[in-house]
Amino acid sequence: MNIDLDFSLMIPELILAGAAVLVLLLDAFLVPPGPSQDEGDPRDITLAVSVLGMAIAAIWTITVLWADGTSRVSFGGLFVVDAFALFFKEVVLIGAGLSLLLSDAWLRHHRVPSAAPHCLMLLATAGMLYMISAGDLVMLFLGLEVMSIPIYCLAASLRWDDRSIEAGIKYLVLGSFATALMLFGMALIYAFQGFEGGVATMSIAAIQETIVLHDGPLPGYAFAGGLLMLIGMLFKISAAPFHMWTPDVYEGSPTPVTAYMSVAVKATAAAVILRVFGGPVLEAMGLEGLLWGVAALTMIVGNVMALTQDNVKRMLAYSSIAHGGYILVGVLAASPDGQAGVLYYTLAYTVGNIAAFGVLVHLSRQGHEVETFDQLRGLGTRFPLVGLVMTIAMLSLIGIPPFAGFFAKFAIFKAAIGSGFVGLTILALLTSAISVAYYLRPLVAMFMTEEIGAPAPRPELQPRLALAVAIAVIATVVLGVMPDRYLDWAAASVIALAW
Amino acid sequence: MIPIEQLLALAFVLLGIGACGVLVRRNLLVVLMSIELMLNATNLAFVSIARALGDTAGHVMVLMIFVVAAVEVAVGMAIVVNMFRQRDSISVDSFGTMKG
Repeated sequence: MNIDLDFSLMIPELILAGAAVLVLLLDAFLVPPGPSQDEGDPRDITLAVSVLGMAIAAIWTITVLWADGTSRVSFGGLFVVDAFALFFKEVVLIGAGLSLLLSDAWLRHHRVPSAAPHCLMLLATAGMLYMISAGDLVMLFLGLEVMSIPIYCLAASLRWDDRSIEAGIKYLVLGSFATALMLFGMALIYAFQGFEGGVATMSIAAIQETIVLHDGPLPGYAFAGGLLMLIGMLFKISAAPFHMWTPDVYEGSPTPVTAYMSVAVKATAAAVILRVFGGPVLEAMGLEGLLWGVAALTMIVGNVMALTQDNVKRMLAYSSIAHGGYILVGVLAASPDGQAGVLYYTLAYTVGNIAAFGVLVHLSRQGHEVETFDQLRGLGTRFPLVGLVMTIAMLSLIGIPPFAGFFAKFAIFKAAIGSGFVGLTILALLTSAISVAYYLRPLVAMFMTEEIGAPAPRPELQPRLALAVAIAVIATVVLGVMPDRYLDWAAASVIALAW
Repeated sequence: MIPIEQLLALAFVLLGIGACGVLVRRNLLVVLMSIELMLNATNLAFVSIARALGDTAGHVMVLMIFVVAAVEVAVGMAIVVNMFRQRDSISVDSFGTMKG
């Protein structure tokens, strides 16, 4: 058998994996053990390697691979590179790169004695890119695990912190549980493909064809298989009722890791749901009604529970659940408009969320974690720039017009109405209205209340963190002021998914 | 030859036992063992389906699952050992520092 191996398609992934190995070696041989120093630290080298790796991978994706324009399949159908995959890879690389810059400031503040988090983030990002490009269930599974296992480690990376340990264990146990269920679903789908489709293969495209061409409802085992696979994916995008882990894991993990999980993992899961269940597949599997219920429940649970939180990270965790619900509305719409809306939504959500978490990282020190609304009191008046960043991030997450979030929600809701999901769209609008209440709470605390007790020390400005936040804020504004270009880009990307 | 229905039924029962173990047991080591049981149930399903179909892809998948399961347990054990050092307990009941 002759399999073509076109490694040039995989260059971004290979760069990330290579950078991860290099970071480990540099950390072992160059960096003296002990907590990081502020100036002239050899750890700067490992950060530079990580960020450069991400940047080169992102630039390569956009210039070389995107410019080529055609959909290509290699490695015997395992690896698919098309416009759809490249868009999501770009979103994931932006989210991961900005989280990496945030993590540097955080590692310094908390005197973490190793560059391992950088290495783990590079590896997890490589796993995400493989997962986005998966053309086969084997590759999908391997990408999922290459993504998940480093993130379990990242969540538990504060070894002396009770909450971090708890977050790591909860994520590991529930994540592996969901993976095992998804694998069983894959086995059943593989059986369906082998018995009904004529050719025994795990190729996603072939399986989709068999499902769509199948007459009448699917046999029970195939339905169960599709259901289990969908549950595994819904777990990763943290849709209700599979969201239980999200608030605890987001609260307990180190803040930059939370930012990373909330943007990159969600975008990856959205990409996989769109690729595997997109177009007519969901309906042919008989799962459309189920996903409708999950989307509705996710929007309600996320938005309502976010109202009752006192911890900003926990509030952002429920907000991320709610945004997962809006993404599912776009998936349900199943039209090119809806899919393009999902792509644009992940991009808008990524930059807005990174800005919000950037503010928290900027204000936090070891022994002085800024996490509750009370700790934000008065800070917007004292540090107007910090307040401005938080305002832009929150307004974008609500979906107020001049910022990216508005056009993201607009695109998805428009597509959902176009596909006849009027009830679901009304529910989405109502829950968005609820979300105003909790997104304004940090702003009220920052601008309209006085600080309690002794004023918090002025946080020193970390140039790398400032760079990440500046990129995120500028992107939020640019995506909102000039959305056409990026919406067109998203629309051009989903043509690759066309049926 | 054992028919595939029986093999799949056995795999499904094993998956169910593993799932119950994850949800019910309080000791984290037993929880990790239950996850292993679930992964091995999927292995059984994959090999039996692959044999019935006369295809190799399912066998390859099982090898991949072996590797990933080992990695997952290694990471899980590391976190559990660290938790024991920190809290002198590996019970799920000692959780609950975060609420809401």
